[in-house]
Amino acid sequence: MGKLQTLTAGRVASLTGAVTRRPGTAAGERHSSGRITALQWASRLILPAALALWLLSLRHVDLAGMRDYGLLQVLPVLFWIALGLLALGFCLALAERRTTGGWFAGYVLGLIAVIHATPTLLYPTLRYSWAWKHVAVVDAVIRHHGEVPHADKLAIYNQWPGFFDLNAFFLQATGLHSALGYATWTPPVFNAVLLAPLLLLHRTVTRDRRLIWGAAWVYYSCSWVGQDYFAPQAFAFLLFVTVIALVMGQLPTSALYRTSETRAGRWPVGRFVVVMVLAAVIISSHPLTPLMLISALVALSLPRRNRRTVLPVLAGTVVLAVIWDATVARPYLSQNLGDFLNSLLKPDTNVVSGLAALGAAAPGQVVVSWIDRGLSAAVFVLAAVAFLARPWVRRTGLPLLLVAPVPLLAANAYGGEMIFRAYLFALPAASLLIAALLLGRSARPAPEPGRRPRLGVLAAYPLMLALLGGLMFGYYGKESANYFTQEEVAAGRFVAATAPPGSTVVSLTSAVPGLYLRYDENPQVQMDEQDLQDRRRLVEDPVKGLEGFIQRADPQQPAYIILSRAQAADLYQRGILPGGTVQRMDAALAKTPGFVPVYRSKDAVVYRYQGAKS
Amino acid sequence: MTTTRWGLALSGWVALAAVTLLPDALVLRAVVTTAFLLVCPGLAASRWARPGRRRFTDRTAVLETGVLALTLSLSAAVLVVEPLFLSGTFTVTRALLVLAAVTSVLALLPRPGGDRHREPQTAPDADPSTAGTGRSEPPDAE
Repeated sequence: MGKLQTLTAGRVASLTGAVTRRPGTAAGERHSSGRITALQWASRLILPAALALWLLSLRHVDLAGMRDYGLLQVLPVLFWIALGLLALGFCLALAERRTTGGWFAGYVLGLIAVIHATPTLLYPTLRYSWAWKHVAVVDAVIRHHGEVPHADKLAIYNQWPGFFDLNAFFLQATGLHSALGYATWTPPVFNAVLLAPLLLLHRTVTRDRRLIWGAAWVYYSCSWVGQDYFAPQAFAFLLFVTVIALVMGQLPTSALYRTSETRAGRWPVGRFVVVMVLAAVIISSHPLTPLMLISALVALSLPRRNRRTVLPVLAGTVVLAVIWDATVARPYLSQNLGDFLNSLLKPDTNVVSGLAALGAAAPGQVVVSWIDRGLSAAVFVLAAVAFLARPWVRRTGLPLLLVAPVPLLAANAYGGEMIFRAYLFALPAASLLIAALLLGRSARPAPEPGRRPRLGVLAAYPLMLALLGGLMFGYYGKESANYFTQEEVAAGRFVAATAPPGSTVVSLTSAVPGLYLRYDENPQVQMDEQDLQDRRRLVEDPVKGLEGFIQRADPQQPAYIILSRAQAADLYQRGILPGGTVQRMDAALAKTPGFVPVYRSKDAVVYRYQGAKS
Repeated sequence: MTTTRWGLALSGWVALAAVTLLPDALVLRAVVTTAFLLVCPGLAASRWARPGRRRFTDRTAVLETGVLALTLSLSAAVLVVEPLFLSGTFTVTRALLVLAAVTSVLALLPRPGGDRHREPQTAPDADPSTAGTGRSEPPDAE
């Protein structure tokens, strides 16, 4: 068997002698264990060097230069050298059989830092308008001691409040004033924390340390969809991976050590309760993740040998989900049931909804979109090749987990997001399949087992670089609209602080930090969400195009129109409205009586409109 | 009864005292409550989730305990505060009181059948995890 270098207790195993030693295994090469090889030296030196270069590269980055390609076009060469070095060092670490888990952890955490801490370190304010929105929801939950009234389209957060209630509780318990401080660091921290359940999941499938850490690296090299910010999705995804890891660990094919109970497919009561607790929190925190969980459990229950383990969890999850949907989430579901049923009947449009509307987008964004879709396709193709080339993976739950999100892809568009969410939920399984393809071997013994890892690395390095490159386009390519200057934040805060309750807040897109502060008091209008006819009218005549949306404005409840840099970038990228719409609106409103500029800075302007009779 | 279990049992009450006695945003209060909310209820609950055999050198067990400590702590907090918020009865003191009590109970009570499930200690790598499954062997560490 020779299962020696494991994530767990290779040392214990070698002491017990309960292993078969052979050339090419760690135990078989104990004679050289005291020497540090050139490969080890290289991998140990490259990690700190790459991280130092990365930090140095962040000293002078001109964020104002971001356009079609976001951060890609403003990060210096040194940054890319650091990233390439990091990948090289990791491959060298993989090639050296005696690399310890600590070094692998250092490399993967280093990769997480480089990818996810870079925007946090560079940007002066919280990244992503959606993160700002979620901070505002937490704030509203605290102000209203729970359910937020008049939430309009954000009412969905009242029906799945777990994440927001948790943060509201945390803020009040610690006495902190806002979630803004820690929300800024959520992407790197979330990804670092996610590493633990990912390792646990991968550990249920293999004991090969290189495969486990290689899979973690592949996961972070391919996770471009950006669902790692301050949001219920990130929270629920962390719990999802944990639940799947616990279930996979309980399967008869699990590589974990098991007790007599688990061998018989029975759940220890405490462990089952823990899984149900996690499932309950997923169900009450996010609308989509429970469906993904149920889909994954259904897939895992397909092989007869798994059913005794999986069916109790599946049944419990379904019962809890039905209870939640029939009670707390009932208002939202009953209002939107028609849409859901309609989506079910149009699987073809659901699948392509996230791919549409590229026609008028910025040229660079078309390239970015094709590259991130190419990366996604490559991940599935590589996973499929692994299925064919590595027979041992077929007996694991990985292929089932890979395809589990597909039924949901056909069931609902999820606002055009479903295809990306399906990718996100398939990625933990896909990453280990890809690692098995790149680093593993088939069940046949290798003719020269001692040389095998180095050859594998030679082939894996360019591919790992390619995956990282694809990730960078998808993850950094839209940053000009995700990044906000202090002036933009000040504009959003100005409106929240000065607008009387009942004021209408108009923006062109949601790319305004603080747009949703006081969303429970001030109705929001986003012009990019309006019908094509309304948008066309706005383009033809910005003032007339606005009229229908601000006609109720009066001195007591005026309308505020926010125009800002990130909105212009957002419109330019997506092509929903023609480029230059922000500037044209600014010019038109500036010379129209009744529209009073009440805030102006280099990156944002706010107009107040008090009605035609004011 | 180990020191860790006693520590866990007391942790919630210390956090409750910090919230009650210390002013908002004081570093000590933030550190104590954060540590409790992120770790303690889940660590106490993870005892109940363990299969019989665990050993200190088993890194997977340590990893799993860490994962469960965090995820169960967050989950416990969600399950405690959600009903309070939904019923309009939320206060920080109430929520912490419930969490502290639950943590104490989970930490102090003996696990049902805790020792019954314990198995003879065998070498981890001698575990026949793939025996009888018909699956070909996963790749070895090379």
